[in-house]
Amino acid sequence: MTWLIVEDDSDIRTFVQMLFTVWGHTPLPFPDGKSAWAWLDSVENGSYTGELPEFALMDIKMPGYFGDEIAARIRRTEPIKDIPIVLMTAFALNESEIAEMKARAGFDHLINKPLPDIDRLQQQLMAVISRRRG
Amino acid sequence: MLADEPVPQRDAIPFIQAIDDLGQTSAGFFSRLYRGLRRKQQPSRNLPSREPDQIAALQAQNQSLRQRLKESQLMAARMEAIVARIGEGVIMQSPEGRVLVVNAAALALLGSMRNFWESELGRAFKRLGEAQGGGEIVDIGGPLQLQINGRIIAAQLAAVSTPEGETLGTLIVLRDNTREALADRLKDQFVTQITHEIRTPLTSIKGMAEVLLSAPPNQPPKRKFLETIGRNAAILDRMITELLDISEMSVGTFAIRRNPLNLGEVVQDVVQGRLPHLEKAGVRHGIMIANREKLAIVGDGQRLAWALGHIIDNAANYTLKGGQIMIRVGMVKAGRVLIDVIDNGVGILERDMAHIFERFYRGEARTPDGKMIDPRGLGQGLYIARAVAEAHGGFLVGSSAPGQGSKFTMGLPIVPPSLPEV
Repeated sequence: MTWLIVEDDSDIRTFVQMLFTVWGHTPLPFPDGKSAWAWLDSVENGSYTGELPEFALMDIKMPGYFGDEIAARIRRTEPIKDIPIVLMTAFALNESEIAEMKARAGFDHLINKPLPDIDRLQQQLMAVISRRRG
Repeated sequence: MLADEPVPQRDAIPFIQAIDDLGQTSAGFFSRLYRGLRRKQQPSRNLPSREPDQIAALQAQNQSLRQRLKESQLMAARMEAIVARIGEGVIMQSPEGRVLVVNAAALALLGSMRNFWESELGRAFKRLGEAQGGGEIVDIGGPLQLQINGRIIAAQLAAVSTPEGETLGTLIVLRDNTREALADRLKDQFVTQITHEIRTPLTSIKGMAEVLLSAPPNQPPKRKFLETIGRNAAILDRMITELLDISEMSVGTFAIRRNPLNLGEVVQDVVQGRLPHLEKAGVRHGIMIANREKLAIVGDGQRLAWALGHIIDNAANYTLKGGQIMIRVGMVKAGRVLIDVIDNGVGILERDMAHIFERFYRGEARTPDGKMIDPRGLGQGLYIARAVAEAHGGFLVGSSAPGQGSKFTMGLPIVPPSLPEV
């Protein structure tokens, strides 16, 4: 399975890519919001011929476009509009901010940085994926 | 001529006498009439049959009233002077909505009365013109905070009445709250930002440490993971050192090390460490070094590297893909060797320019297509860079043309001031 990762901090991106690989998935990485946005253009106009991701993990604050903006666009992009989306952030957001952002961007779950221990992170992501499938 | 005048007859004498009597009688009548009229005009002067002590009492009362009138006039003049000169803006209107008082501070804050009436505050003030207060001064609105005339103004509205309850009008007191509001905003932004700036490198450190720990104990740790941990620990170290520097700067105890160093090498090292960043940003760069013999100075190599790093990072962050950064080292002016960092990026808005050297200030730069440029960081870079330059006896200045680029120049003394080494 292909998993999308959009993260502007190269060390965190490398770490997450490594986890995806260890868990048996193929990472589809983008280093910022802008390049992910351009990729979505290619998905929309049909010029992207690679494998479409079945899951997305994205940072919120990135140059170009924020993770929540990309999430909202994924929800409008036909072939991938129903994939489970998890956002991650190093900001401290309160419940109402998260609820407001969820309603606007349509993502499934938000996790805080530093990320949970690897096993727990995997459990959380799998729970989101099975909820979406169920 | 007497000879021609008729000689009065003897029987004419009683007639003349009668006319004279009539004249005297009418004179008495008219004088009584005039006296009466004068009495009406000045009743106090000719009050009938006043005793001397009553007159004295009236005179004393009169004197006291005059004194009180004078005191009231003085008090009014004092109040007027106070209202005219206090720092707070004061506007008062009568219950009918007529503006009675606008002091100089109010006009200075608002720019013009037009700005005031067009603001939300002016409209509220108009509506409250007839508000009734229960006491002498009753707060009826606020404290409100509004943006008028490019300032953040705190306003307190009050209904004013006499102790007897007669409405005198509505009063508004205005205070320039721009500084405080800005400081509050900076504090909030700082807390949000520093959380992010600490958690981000921690994410890599924690994650990579866990990966290393999950490897078999007899397997040597992967060098790449250790490098990641070291790099992110260095980011945290630098951030904490700079925050401590900032707290020392604010109490005036900031001091630098003084070691021999070569400015050309410092600049080249800083740029070298940023090559991946510059490459990722798609920004070309050039370094021009002149007057090499003047570049051996005495200073704090690490602090200078961090300071220049902030300036170059800013140039890279605020320059669009395809843009360029030119770094010139070695021009000499007024006994100082100069380092210019010139970019052709988005530039700095005029309203940001006034604050860029303030602690934790972050501007609101945008790309030509309106996207906000919001790089990571605490907003401490230029504040620290200037403080570091000044601690060396130098300076840091910036100029910019929005949409065309920015130029920052650091000047450092060729012969450093003889301060004790720390």
